[in-house]
Amino acid sequence: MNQGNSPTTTIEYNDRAVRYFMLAGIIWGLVGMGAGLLAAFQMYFPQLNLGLSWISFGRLRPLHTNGAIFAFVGNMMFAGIYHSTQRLCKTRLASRALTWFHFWGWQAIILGAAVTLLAGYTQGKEYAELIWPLDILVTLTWVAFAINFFWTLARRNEPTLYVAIWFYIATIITVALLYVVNNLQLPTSALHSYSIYGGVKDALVQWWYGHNAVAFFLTTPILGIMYYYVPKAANRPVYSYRLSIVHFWALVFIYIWAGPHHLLNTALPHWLQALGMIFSLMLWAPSWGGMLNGLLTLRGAWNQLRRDPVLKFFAAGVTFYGMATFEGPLMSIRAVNYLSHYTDWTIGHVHGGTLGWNGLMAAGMFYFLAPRLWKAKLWSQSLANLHFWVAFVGILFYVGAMWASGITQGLHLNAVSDDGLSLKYQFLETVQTIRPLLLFRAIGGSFYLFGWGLLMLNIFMTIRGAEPVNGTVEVPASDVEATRQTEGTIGWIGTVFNWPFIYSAFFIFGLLGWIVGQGLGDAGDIIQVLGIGVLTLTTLTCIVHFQVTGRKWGEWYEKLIGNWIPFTVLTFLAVFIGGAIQIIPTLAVQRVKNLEDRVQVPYTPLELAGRDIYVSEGCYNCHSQMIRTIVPDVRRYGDYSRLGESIYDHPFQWGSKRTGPDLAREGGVRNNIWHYDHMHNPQEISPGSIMPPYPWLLEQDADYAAIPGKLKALRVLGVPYPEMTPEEVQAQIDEQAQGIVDSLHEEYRTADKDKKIVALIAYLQKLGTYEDVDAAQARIESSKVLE
Amino acid sequence: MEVILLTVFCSVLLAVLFGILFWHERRHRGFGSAEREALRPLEEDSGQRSARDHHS
Repeated sequence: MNQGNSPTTTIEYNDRAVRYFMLAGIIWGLVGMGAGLLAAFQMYFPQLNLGLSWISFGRLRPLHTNGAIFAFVGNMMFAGIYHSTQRLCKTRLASRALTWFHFWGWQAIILGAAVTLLAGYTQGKEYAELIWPLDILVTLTWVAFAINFFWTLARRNEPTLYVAIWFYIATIITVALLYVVNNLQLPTSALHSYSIYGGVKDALVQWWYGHNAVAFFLTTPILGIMYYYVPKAANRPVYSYRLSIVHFWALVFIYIWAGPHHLLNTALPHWLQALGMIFSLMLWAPSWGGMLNGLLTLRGAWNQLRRDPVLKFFAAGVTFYGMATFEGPLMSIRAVNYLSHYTDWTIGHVHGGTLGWNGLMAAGMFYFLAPRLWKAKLWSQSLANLHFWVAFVGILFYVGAMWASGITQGLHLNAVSDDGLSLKYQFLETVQTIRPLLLFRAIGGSFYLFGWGLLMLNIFMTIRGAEPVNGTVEVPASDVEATRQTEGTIGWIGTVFNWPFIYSAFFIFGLLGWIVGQGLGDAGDIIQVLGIGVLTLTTLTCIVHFQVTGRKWGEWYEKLIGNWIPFTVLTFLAVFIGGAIQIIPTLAVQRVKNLEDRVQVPYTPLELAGRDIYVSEGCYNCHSQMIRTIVPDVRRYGDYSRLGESIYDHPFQWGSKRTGPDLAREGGVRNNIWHYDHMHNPQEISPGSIMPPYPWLLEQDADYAAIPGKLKALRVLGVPYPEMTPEEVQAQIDEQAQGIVDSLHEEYRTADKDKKIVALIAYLQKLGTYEDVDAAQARIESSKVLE
Repeated sequence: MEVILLTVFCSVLLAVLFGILFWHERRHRGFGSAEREALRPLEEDSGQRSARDHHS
């Protein structure tokens, strides 16, 4: 667009913000990975929590996951987005105030999260543990980021939006949607709340969020970064711009549907499980299309990999993306998930993604940016190369150990004796089998963290004494004019009433008819046939139409990428459809007919206090409460879990990993004294156990004063509690707690009824208690949730 | 059965579409402004200014 004698304007980019986000990402990377490493060693040496509540595994693991995702990758992606967007738009960030509110707001959230999570304040939902005041701050900060970003797009001096920007747009709008919907909650105090969703409803919303946090926080922004920095580092254009278009739209449309693959083989309706599995398998195509687009960009530049650490990190990062996105759909096949779910295989999978894809891409980008943002040469190329190999070996150790551990434990847990009537291994035996692999994992993590230390040293030495610089660009007036002419050329009518959009809409309707029809019985057969018909007709008509008229799909698309508002709206629609199809039926699955034959008995006030302690200590990080509809689960833990049995659980506690056994039917299996002794010293009661000790539960008081308010909140959410005065609540607590204390005294254990251990025992002994639906009918009919 | 059929259909459809794309890319690279778009990341900054001179 640069044209001859056109007058120019000099624009100076806001690279200071990029430097700040980059350095924050590097520091938080150390913290997030350090927390993970400590947690990994604790799994081999359970006593490593030193008897301290705030570094016990259940609290440390959320710090690790939130630190790695939101602090490390978050700051890294903001650095990449702000750096590349300014250059792709040839304009400075729109608002200095919003940029710094974004930066400091995000760091305040991270600090707040670190303190509250270690102190045991949590929502009890994976990757959504932050308490409600922090959720509000996240929302405000994200809104500031979004305004700043879109405002920058509106002020750009480039007519069209490059592919990296599309991925950033998808990230911003989808994360906002996911975060707000999943974090709807009813506060009971300044630090505590209950999710407005309960049981299966909470499970579905949570995994719609959890899965897509991976998709739209850990994947799409990094893909945008890939599309900008890989061509730049290789000094070659992206392999296929056309492929990037298909990659983007297929990915954002398909990804959002795949959440239910986290709930396979549960009592979740089969059509939802099938939906999650089908869309997960379809993800293979766009994911690998994107990976190949990234790798093929390096065609003709492979020789540079020998000496350029930046390209080395990028090439390996993109390859790990391919591996992780091959493995994910594989694990979403129900038969594979039967083996892999709740085991270390999942842990290996996610770390292949975070350490391999996110971590290596982050390192490549930081090594690329540091010399440019500080006008200095990288201090040591060879140290960066060493970092690469140390990290690479570390990942292989880590992921290899977790694959071996997961598959081994999965096979052992599912193995039956020769007569086929009983299970071959006790849970603890399987833990002992995989224990050496847990040590290997920690060693692999140590390698990776050591590599990160090398990066910190290298970057520190690079920027020490160097001059921080901001990039500038000369923008010809003709570019500004061309941009203004492009913006607004498509309009709303032009966005929607055009053949590409219409064909896409018909295709999606046909596909939805085919899919949704499966869950609708006899009437569904007609819908399915209609869906297949629309799908086929649309495809054929579209091909013939474009061939005959000679029109190009690209004509419309070129206009679309010059208009950020219609583009953003279409992106929102693409992700909204999948979310709506899943979430709206979820509102129906808790109806009486889906309770099957059982309904949960609401917790007593003491049991509720115990449940809050269970959530606060992060027990769900190691224990599931969901017996799957598969034979080995039923043989090991009892009858499979019905949807009605967790209907009053706000939040649900189905879990995603069984480092310890399932607890769905724990109530009554062991006596109170066993639980008391087990919490005090698990290894003494269960030799070979890797559960950490929880001595503070025997010393600290439970917060009974908060229970009346919590009961009131749960009543608002539909749990059928009768109206009770605080005195009545306390009387109930005292009576039940005294019974537990008396049973402990019989075996010479001393416990006061106010202690946390008493409430927790009450909760554990309640697990698995249910009523027949008929017996609970009166309660069900009076509950608005069940209507 | 329906699930398998649907999965196979969708997977094959996507695989074929991507296959056509790759094949097409080898023969007719880009469309319209695609070549220009693909070159966008390669544009370098015009210059640099010290960030110490003023607050960004």
